[in-house]
Amino acid sequence: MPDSTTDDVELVRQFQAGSERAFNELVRRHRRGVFLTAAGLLGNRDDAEDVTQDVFVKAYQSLHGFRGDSAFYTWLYRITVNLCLNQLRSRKVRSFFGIEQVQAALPEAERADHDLERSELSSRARRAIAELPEKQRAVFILRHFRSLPHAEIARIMDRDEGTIKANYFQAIRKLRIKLGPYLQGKE
Amino acid sequence: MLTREDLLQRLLEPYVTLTAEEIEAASAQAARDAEVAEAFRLCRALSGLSEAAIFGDPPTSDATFLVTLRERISPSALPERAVFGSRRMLAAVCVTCVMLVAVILGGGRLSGVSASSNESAMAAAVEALDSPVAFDVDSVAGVSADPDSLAAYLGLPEMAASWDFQENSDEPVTDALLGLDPQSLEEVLNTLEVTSFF
Repeated sequence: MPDSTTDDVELVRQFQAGSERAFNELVRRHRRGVFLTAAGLLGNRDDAEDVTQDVFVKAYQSLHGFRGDSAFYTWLYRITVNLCLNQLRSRKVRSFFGIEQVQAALPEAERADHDLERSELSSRARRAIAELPEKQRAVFILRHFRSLPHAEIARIMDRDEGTIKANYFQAIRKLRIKLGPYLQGKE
Repeated sequence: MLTREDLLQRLLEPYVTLTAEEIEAASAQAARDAEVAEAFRLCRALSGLSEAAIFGDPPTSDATFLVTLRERISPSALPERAVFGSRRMLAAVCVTCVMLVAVILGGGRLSGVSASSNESAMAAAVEALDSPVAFDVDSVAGVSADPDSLAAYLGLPEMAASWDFQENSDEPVTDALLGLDPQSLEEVLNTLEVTSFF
């Protein structure tokens, strides 16, 4: 019986031994991170929810072949990034949240808890992230929001670590350019 | 003491938590360095942003998500279904096979017909096969196609007078039948219908 203290490796082993509950626990643990990563990459909450489902369906089908060469979350985020990039390429999703989608993205109670300045900053940050090139966006989200080390992101993106670092600093530089004037105005 | 480059590198780290010394150094540097000042502002701003605030939490609860997910993955959970079908179908096939084997091994006993009824039915069938007037194939081939012989062969001698076909036709019997009036033809056909050839 899996519990919250069981680590991912043990849950994967239990699932491979036939425990469906172990897979449910893995879903509970990683679903939010997968969703937020997909939302950041796709810029659309509905698409992100669909992709999150696809990620776990694919994980369920492939997990018996998972040998543990990398961490489970690395493996899971690799699936997430690949599915998102595929969807971006196939659907030509270029737009991020519009203002009306921003309002839909945040629950009423949560919006009420944020001051206007923070909401404005969130909206600007969302737009700025959406305008990053796909790979820089993926690297930025995995590094900044998922707090993954460059080496892990390199494994997820199947790139060398130097490229990932360069992508990340390019992303930061562009965000500074986009958000700088707004932040200066607030000083 | 942090160098300017070290300070910049530190400020651009994600979710960085600055020490008091770093904050003091950054503040001092920012006062005379626009780039550091901008990085310092961005660092504080981005560090204060949560991804949930930017993108929102998932629209469905874990339970709802899991139910939908389970509905999607249940067909793929049993890859052998593509070959053997569903468990229900497999059970139905097994039950059918068992019943067929039982019927085959049990003979007619499962059909509701008793053994004695079977024996008497078989005897009646054999008797019925023996009773019809049997015509030998050779004797049929040897029947002359003239009206008298054919009528005698068919057991309808009184009909011979009304038949007017000629024996020298290539198909005398067909000609004879085509030459009959409807009533006579009906009688001949009825006679042929109950005739068994061996």
